[in-house]
Amino acid sequence: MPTPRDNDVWLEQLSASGPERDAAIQDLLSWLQKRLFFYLRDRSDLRSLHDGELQAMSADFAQDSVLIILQKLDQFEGRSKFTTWAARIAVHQALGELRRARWRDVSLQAVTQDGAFEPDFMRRDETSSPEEEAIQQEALAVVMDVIQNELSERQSRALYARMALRMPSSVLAEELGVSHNTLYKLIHDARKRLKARLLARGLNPEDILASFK
Amino acid sequence: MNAPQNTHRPDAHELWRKFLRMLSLTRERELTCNEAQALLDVYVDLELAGENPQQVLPDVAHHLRICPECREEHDALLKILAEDAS
Ligand SMILES: [Zn+2]
Repeated sequence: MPTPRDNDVWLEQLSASGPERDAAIQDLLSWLQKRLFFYLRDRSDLRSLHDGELQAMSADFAQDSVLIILQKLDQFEGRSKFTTWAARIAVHQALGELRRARWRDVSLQAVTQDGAFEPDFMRRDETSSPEEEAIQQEALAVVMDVIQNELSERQSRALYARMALRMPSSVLAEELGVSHNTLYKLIHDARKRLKARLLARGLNPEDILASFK
Repeated sequence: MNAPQNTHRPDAHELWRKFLRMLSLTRERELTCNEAQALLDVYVDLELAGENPQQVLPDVAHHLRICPECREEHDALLKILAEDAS
């Protein structure tokens, strides 16, 4: 923990000027950097980096985060500990950067050839009993019908990129040129429609799932 | 161009299950990522205090089940703060 301060003291010192503010910023910065370093060191996808690289990376992330934290100071409502709020912003910043870096240069177009939904990307579980398999087959047919005939091209591309390619929504939103909220709504509408069509045919996704071994 | 390393495609059966799971969790009204993230610090503080955030903030708990990025951020936040407390 940085030198313990309660929320009011954090706010007061960070909004003040002079050495008190500098000390508070420095305290926050070094705490975030240390915590981010230990977190990054534990990530399996960063195992090839040595400590020096991870130190530099966490220093950059902490630096960027503190700038954002200072900008957003007036948005802190005091509903959590200040340090938890600050760490939340730092984690969002750091993981966002990592995702962008990992997906840099990968376009949806390139990954999916024409960017369209690949109809064979899902297959039902053939290890179920014949009755269960028949239900799954019917459900899959409904899903494919909705995807091909009811969803917009953009919706099916978005769904495919999220589900099959595991493309992060921030990366996908940028790729599609829409805001994060618009993308969420696009996919949420698609999910609601798919679910409604299945339920209308008496196919409850929960029941189908429960039939898996 | 290929999808980045360690983002390999899940196999088709697993994907079908995930798809069904996602549909079974789909609700008329859900939090967006921004809405869930705005409450993530409150959620994690409850968890660290040994309270039950699923009960206090059920919509956030629901979002964490359907959204892999917010879940990743939640797990990271918890890890960073829990290690600090120990
Ligand atoms: Zn989310």
